[in-house]
Amino acid sequence: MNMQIPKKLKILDWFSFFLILFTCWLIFYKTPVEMNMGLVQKIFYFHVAYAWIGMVSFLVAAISAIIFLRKGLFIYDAVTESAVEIGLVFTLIAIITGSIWARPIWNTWWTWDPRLTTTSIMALIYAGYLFLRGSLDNPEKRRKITSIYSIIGCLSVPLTFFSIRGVRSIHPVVFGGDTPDFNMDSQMLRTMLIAIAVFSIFYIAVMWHRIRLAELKEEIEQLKLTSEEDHD
Amino acid sequence: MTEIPNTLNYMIAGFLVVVVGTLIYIGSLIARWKKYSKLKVELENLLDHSKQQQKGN
Repeated sequence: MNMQIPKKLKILDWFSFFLILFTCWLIFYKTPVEMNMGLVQKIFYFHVAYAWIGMVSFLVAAISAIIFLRKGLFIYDAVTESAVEIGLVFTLIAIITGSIWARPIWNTWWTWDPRLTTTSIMALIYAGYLFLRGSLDNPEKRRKITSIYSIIGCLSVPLTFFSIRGVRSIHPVVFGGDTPDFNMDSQMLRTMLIAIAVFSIFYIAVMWHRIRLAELKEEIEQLKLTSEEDHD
Repeated sequence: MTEIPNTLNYMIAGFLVVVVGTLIYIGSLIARWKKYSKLKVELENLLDHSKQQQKGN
């Protein structure tokens, strides 16, 4: 494996960095301040993008796990591991920013609303994936068991997504909802969609780096095995 | 006309969580990459050394 960062990845890194700066400029200077919530509503653009990417990442992990179980190629396991780890980071940031947003709006840091509860359960399920992965020594067994785990764990993603649709919830429905007091103007909607697209590009860059790390780890495991065989 | 509530501090806190959380994760990726790169070089040197010893014997 080449230890140097590939040129395409470097370009993607810088591209996503400048796009994020552009998105921040849009959010803070070009998008109007929401009248009922004030400036805290600007967290919304990051919160939605991070929550959305977190869920997409868990779906990527499940799809990759299915392919791994069918084909048995290491790279798919690396994709699953990377997608779960990054998805969990994005989800945790979405939970914390959501809590900060909720404090002045709902007058509480936390409430056991269906969306907040299912998101927390989803995050705990995927934290469990990482603990399970770290606790299994046999590489073959570890890959198979964690792949099955991530496929089953993925059931929490649609549960989280649909948790606020059709039930009573104080969490606003952003996509296809008709939540009162949550009317975005066209500029807000455009900024939100741009933020989701930009952070998706950033996600691809981070995934690429994380997969390279998984490949490096795998090389070390192979070298350790060779070293042990030599000693025997 | 209703006044817009002052929620600037919450916005700053939320923005800091996004920036700091993301930077910590990127930092952890860089730290792990450096750690494993070093380990890989050490293991390769160890293997080369043991191969040379086997040849010498």
